Amino acid sequence: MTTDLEDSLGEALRNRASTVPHSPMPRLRSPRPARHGWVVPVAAAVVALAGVAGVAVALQSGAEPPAAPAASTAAKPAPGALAPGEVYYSREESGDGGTVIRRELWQSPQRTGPWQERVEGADVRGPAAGRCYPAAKPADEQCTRSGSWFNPTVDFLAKASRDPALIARQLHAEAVEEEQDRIDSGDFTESDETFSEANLAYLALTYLQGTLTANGMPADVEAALHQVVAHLPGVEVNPNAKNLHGERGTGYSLRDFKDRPLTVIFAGDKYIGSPTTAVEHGAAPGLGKAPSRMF
Amino acid sequence: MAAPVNLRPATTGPPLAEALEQQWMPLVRLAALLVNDADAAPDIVQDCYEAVWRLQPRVTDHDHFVAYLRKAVLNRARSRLRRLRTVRTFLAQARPADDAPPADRDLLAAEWHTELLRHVDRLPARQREVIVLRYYCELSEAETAEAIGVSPGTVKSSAHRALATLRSKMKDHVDDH
Repeated sequence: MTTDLEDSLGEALRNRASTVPHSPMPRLRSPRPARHGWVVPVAAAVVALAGVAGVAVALQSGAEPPAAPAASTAAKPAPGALAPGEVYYSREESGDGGTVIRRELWQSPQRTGPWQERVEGADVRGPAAGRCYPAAKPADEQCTRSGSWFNPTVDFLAKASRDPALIARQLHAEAVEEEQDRIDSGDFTESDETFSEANLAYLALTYLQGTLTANGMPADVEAALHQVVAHLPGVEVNPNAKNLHGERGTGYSLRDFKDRPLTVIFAGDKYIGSPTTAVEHGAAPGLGKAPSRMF
Repeated sequence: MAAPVNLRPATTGPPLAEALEQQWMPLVRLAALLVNDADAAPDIVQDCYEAVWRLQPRVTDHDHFVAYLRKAVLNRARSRLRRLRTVRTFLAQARPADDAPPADRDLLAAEWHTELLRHVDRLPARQREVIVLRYYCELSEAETAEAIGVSPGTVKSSAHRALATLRSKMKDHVDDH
């Protein structure tokens, strides 16, 4: 519902915009590779994580970074773990029946190490000066805050609890803190439902979807999160759910206030996406390189 | 009526040049509102376009591409305002309290809008961005949050504060008359 003031604002802004004189679009120079890095905002074409509000990153074109040393073949790392020299690789495709968007992400195991993202063939590369892949929470734009379930980092996931009951309590606490922060920042939408179990569970699942999409998820943590999701209050279970690629698994859904389902699908204990996404994780021998194995 | 920049085109997008051409004036208008300078607006958008043109992205999802352009314009507008902050502070102090409304429009409505925009121009940068994106571009809170690079909660609180300020200022304006 809009107020008179809001209506007036829209009208006043449109009136002002209508006075901007028409100017022809200038002729653009022939494209050529940029020689230097330049910073622009990138609206991430596909970001499943609801808490992520776009990313500000450095786009660079030019020479490939030095490839990481070849993966060691002496010992096969555990699923979800990297061999020396490898980087994490994830591939997420999303679509709603029309266009399918592919996002690939290569990440160093170090939080502030190099990373590269490829969205629909366009490469986005992290700056070299120790700035991490954009954090899940915009409030952590500098990636200096410690990780959490709502702001997963490789370090955090490696050390996280494997106990579903403890994880559930931690998630609940983070959801409460998140809502309290919103209220403290002047959010006027607080209602009796703000701290309801249903709302907190929905918030937790929203962030968990991003956490499960993130790189660096140890297999045993993923299995524990599966148990947590399966026991969220009010969760609906569909044993024959299919992700975007038609892969079958068990779907867990919570509904928002407009009765729209938010679904995550596990095949066994492995997260595979949702009805509109397909998520895969693996390892690659270097940034931008084809994955050498999938987890 | 939705602002042109907020139009939702078909999923299959046009080629890059055509997409840029389509969005040129909507983005120029958006830039003009963000920096309150119609002369500077084309430069801001052209700067953004040059960068995009160098990259030559494939426009496979028009909605995302428009969101990308909008965010790029927003950031360049923000940079320009940062550069001009000192000058603007001086000009704001020196500017006459009232801008005369155009003579050929409804005087009351024009005066109301002029006064309202005068206070919009004085809002903190983030609040002004939220107001323009929400009420001119008619973006949702989530879309506004993505464009600005903050959380939806921040958008809500910024909008709340901005509207409270504007409501108070406009009430003073009514009381003064």
